[in-house]
Amino acid sequence: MTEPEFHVGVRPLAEGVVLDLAGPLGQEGGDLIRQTVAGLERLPAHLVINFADAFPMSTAGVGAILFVVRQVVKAGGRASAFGLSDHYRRVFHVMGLNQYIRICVDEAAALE
Amino acid sequence: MLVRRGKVMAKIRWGLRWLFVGLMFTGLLWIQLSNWIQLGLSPLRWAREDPMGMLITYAGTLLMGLALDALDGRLLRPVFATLARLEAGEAIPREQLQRSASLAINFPARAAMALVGLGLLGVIAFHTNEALLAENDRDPRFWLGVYGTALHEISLVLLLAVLLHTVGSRVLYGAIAAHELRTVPPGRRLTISGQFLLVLLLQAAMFTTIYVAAVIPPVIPTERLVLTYLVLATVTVLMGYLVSASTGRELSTMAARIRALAGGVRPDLFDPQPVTSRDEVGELAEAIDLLQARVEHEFRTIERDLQAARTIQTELLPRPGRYPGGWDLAARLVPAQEVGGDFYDVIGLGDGRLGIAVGDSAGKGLPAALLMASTVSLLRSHASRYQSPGEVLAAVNRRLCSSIPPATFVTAVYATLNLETREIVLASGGHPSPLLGGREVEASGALPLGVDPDTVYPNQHYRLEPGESLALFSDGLLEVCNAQRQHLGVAGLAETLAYHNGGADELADALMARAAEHSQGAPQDDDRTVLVLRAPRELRLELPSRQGSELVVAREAATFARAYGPADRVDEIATAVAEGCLNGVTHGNREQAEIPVVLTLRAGPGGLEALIGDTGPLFTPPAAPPDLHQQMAGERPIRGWGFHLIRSLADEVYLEPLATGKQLRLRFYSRGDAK
Repeated sequence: MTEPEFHVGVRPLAEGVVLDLAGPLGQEGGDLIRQTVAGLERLPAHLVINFADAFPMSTAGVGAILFVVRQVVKAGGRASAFGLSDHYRRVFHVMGLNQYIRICVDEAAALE
Repeated sequence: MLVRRGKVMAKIRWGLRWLFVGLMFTGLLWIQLSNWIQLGLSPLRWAREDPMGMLITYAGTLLMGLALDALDGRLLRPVFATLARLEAGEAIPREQLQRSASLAINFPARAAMALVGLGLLGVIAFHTNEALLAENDRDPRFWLGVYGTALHEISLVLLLAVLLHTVGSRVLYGAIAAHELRTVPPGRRLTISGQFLLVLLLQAAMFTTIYVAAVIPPVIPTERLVLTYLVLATVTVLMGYLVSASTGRELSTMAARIRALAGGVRPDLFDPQPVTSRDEVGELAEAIDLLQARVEHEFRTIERDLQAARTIQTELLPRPGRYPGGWDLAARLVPAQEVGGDFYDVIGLGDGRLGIAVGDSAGKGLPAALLMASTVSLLRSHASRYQSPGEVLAAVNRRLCSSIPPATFVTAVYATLNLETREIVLASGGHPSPLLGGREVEASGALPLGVDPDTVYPNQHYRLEPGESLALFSDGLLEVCNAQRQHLGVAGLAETLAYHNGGADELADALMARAAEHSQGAPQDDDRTVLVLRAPRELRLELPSRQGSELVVAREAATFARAYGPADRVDEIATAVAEGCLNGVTHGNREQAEIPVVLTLRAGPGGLEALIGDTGPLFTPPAAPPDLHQQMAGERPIRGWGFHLIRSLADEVYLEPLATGKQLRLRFYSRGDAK
């Protein structure tokens, strides 16, 4: 019983970066996200996270999202997310994440 | 009813008028025929030779008819008034109703008596006058002639009176019946024997006239005497038939009613038998009404008692449903009569086991129902005292042997179900073998309960596979017959059980439908009972206690929920179960990979249950969610969201101790069936 692989793609923006998440997001995926953000030249002013291909997710992985969002927010930046299913939107609301991450319907809305 | 009564009134008025016309015609015909046959006096000759006499005769007859019509109008006026009020739906006091009915009942006899009185007066007046004017008063033959003629006239009067009474009663029958009398009204009466005596008198008078005609001059030729005899014989036979047919018709109606009562037909399906005469027929109608009322009263009492017994019996039986762990039970019982001897029961044993039973008390109706109630009570009281079904049945058997009459017994199958292990332990006392997943379970062959107190009931052990079903049923279901008297048999039920994929409710319905289909509507004389138990569909996983296992679980749980439902909760089940496993991995087993987190998913109709076991100690989860703001401010570590999410997504959350740790039990119901 092995965990499928998790990937993080990085697309730079003028004022930030888009992280394209793919695969099951648990602790291992969360570590990868942390490392990816840590590897950026500087903390992005706008962190956009694409959840369209991230499934399933556990709080072990979502904790990493919170961690990087906290870093960005502390540095005066902002965070947006798109590609979340209705179910994970509800999960984010239950956790209160929508107070720190702007949940958008698609990438265009997230990039505004 | 209104239309009927309106028709009744018109029928009576016109019926009586036609009767009077008929009487007049009969009287005139009688006189003409007598004159012609006996004296050779044809109507034409009579008109020529004695026009005045003929005119007086015709006028007298017409007057008699008019007098009767006037009498009818006067005597029956209150009857018609009552009928009109009945037609208008008015309530009429009982006394008035009785008076009116009495008038209608008495009218034919009164009219007949009036006719006889008038006739006799006429005969006496005419022949007294004849005697006074007679020249040869010493000749005895003259007096014999007067006697013969008077007798002949009295015969006519009696004939008309009998006709008036018999046909008049028939005409007035509808009016009298419309009063719907239940008792014979008081007053004088003409009994059946009296009516026949009248007919016999008529016959005697008529045949005496033949004798007189044969002996007094002018002597009538033999062929005319024979003709006279034939006419009189025909008339007397007709009269006898009219009187007896009227009585016979009413007697036949009442006999049919009594036969219907004796045949068990519900008495309230009939109209009451109206009392329409004062004679013995009226008394019989009154007696039948009393009998019918008594039968109806008894019927209602028994029906009410049976309905109460049925309610009690129904309330005595449980209403199976869903049980912990996704177990699904359903039962159906269709009694052949109001109450029956079949029973089923589901008994919570309080130790993770469930007791289930189906039985059949010998006999039918109330005795069987009482025995059934007694057996259910004994089963319930012994079920938790003894561990195995065999011991329970043995204890119930001993009690029944000491308390029920000989030749009375109960067949029963009793089983215990371990809700966790799916183990079934089963014992049977002379009962049809259950069906397990479409296969017949081998019967132990023990005697029914209540026969031999030393009977041993062996325990048989089985295990239900996930999704598999067990059906217990009574012989009434197996022996459902079609029109060709062929039994449904085990094969018919097994087939339905083997290929049906629904829940216990649907399965029980399908089995009963199979029986109904086989019976093709033929009435069944035995109760039909089935109890169905469907094991939950189950998935069991042992997960290594390491990060990432919860993601595998999320996919597996989603796949399972999509397959067995509830399909509208797939995402919530996947996330909540994954979080439960993550808790088990991290907090329970502290990520010791070699110690597994054990996940069991069970799906029943309308819901899913997840059991997540780990070796960690039982704890009390925090009531409030973590403080996100503190976590985002870095004042607290980002953690503790799992249990909060689980609570938000699952319908029921329990933390339970296990011998080796603890277990998280989550339940999810379909949105359409949320608890």
